[in-house]
Amino acid sequence: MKTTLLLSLVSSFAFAAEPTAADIVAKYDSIMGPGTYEAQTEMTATREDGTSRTYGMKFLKRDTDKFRVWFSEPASVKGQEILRLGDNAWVYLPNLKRATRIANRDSFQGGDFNNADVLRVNYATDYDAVIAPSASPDQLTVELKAKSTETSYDKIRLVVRKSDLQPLKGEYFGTSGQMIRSATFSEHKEFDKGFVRPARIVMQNEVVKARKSEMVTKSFKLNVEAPPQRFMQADLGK
Amino acid sequence: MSRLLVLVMVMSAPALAQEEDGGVPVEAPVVETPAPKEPLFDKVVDVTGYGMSRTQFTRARTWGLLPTNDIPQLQQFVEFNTQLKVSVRPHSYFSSDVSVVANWGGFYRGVDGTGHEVALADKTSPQVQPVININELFISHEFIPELNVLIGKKRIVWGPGMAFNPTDLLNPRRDPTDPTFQRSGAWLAQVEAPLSFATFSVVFAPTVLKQTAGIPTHFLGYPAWDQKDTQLHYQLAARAYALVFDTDINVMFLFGNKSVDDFEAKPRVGLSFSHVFGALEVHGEALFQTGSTRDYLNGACVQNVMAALQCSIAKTAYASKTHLNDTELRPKILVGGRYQFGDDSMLSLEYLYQHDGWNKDHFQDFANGLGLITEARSLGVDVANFPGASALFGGTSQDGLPVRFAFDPRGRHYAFLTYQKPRIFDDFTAQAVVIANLRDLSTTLTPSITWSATEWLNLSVLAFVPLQGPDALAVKTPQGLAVSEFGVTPFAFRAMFEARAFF
Repeated sequence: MKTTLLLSLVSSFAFAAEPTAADIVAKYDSIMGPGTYEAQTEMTATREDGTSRTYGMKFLKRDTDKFRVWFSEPASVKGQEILRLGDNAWVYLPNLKRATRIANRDSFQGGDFNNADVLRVNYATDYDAVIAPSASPDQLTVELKAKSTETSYDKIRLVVRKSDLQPLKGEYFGTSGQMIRSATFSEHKEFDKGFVRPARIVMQNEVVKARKSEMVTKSFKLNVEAPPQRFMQADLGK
Repeated sequence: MSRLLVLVMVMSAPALAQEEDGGVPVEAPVVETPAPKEPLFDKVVDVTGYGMSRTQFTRARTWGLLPTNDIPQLQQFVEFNTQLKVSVRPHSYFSSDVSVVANWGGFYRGVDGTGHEVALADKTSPQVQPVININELFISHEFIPELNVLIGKKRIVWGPGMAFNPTDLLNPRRDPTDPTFQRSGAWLAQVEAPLSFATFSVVFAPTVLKQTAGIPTHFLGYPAWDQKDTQLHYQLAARAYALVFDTDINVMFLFGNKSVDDFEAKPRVGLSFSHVFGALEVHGEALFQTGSTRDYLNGACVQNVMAALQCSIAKTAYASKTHLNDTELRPKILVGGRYQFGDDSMLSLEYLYQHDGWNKDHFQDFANGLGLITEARSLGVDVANFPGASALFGGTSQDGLPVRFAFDPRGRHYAFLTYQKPRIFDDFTAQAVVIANLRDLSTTLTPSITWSATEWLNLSVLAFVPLQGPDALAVKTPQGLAVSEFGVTPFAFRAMFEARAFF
């Protein structure tokens, strides 16, 4: 009994001091895509010419693979909806009054986030992770390698704050090895009791430098009512 | 010693939990997981819509085989659309989508007795009537998450076809040159059961037989004061949907009586699927039915003027639904795919097969009929109601809303090709749609450019060009003129400018 308790205690402290790559990725998933939540967000996409478009939307997530988005702004896309169910995604277009299948690689509303960046945050499932050298002693870095060709990126380098594993920076690479996006996570705040996450994510397009998209979280509630029927194709447009 | 260890463990536990914000967590963040929060009911009133102005110039093909007298060369549409959604109580909401459309048309062109083009007086034609259109108007209630009911007018489309939906027997047909825009539905009542493994829907759609200013006044049966028949007109549809191996599968059973066509007590079966392979979406949609309500010209009556006169004297119909009651299976099948490129441009290709579509002999009868029309027009006979001619005019959908192109495929094999490239410059999106009859290779080409000038304003220019196809594949009139399906369209081209402001 003594031995067990001692080992447990020692291993707990050792683990706390030096999290593994898998721990970091699991923490990232739990921060960026917790089990069930509802969020109000605003995404501003800045284009090459300096002009920008701002989209208002509501997210509803259930389990690891069910995701729903309702767009409220601007007026030209109001009523548009997206549903993600496992590896499947549909967009509902109010002008057409119907749902259409979409691929994971489609950009999210023409911005610099991919649909998968927003609709599927499940790095632990999609990527193999290893610890990488960090530029700062206050940070930890993991490198993620895609498990299949179905993911949006071939490789991701994720930098987190050592103290609480909150994400600080992400670099996203294509199959050619070229960095195609980079993200900065900032304004970490407590949205729900004990739940902290970055309120602002800036996704920089590294191919077209003048382009970037900024996602600002206005509210984030955990454990909301999310009946399974909200995540069915038949519910789109209702 | 063991007490000390236990004490340390007990003390360290909350300390570890608190390290969520300041230390390294042991596992996933410790978040309390109370029972799901039931949201308080907030009455939500959501209003949106748009104003649209479309200026359209159509060059009447006065030198063609079809009359152009009812085609205004210049048209102006103004549409004001409002969409309202109100949550009236928990799990119930009301939704409406209503358009008011004002039209003006003029500059009509025709030919005189010598065949020369002449200007015609402006007139009140069906294409320039003001319209109030209820696109949707319904109330929906969710009794339990697994059962909801919807009553009113709603557009429900189950098939995945982009340009054409063979299984859609409820709604006004979509304009294939504008595949992203069709909002009008059908009056119906729907009971739907979304279950974990499948969704089951049953729809009853009574046919609107009389309406005033866009407001339906008589469903199901004709009124006593205008009793065209004593039958009930309706469409009943049942659908089972499931996501099987990441594939959308729909199985539909449809039963209609003098609803969208002349079939009586007609059962039909529909099937569809849609699957995504990476950036490629593949889909299929099929309707299986026996018989056909399609009109076929009586070849013996349109061979020449004498034959036509003999049919007229004998009161033999020039066109009839000769396959209405036959038992041969006559499916309509659409298969296609949509590829999304890395720059968000999209290529869509679909193929449509209609077993009951006209073959070359049927088109030859059509050409013979057009030859008779040509002769009749030269004698000053009004041929505007020649069977089959109206479908080629275009202009309005079946619910009266103006559309860019009224598509009624009468052949057997068609291809629909759409290419769309967003952000060719700034917020300019280029698109081209090609619809081809694969027998005579006549096509319609619809290039367009849309500029999203602001977040609330879209400006579009669009052209619509019917093309004849090779003469070798066309049928000939008795006068030797080549005839193909899109080649006889009564206008040479159509160009339009559209401004749509959202609110």
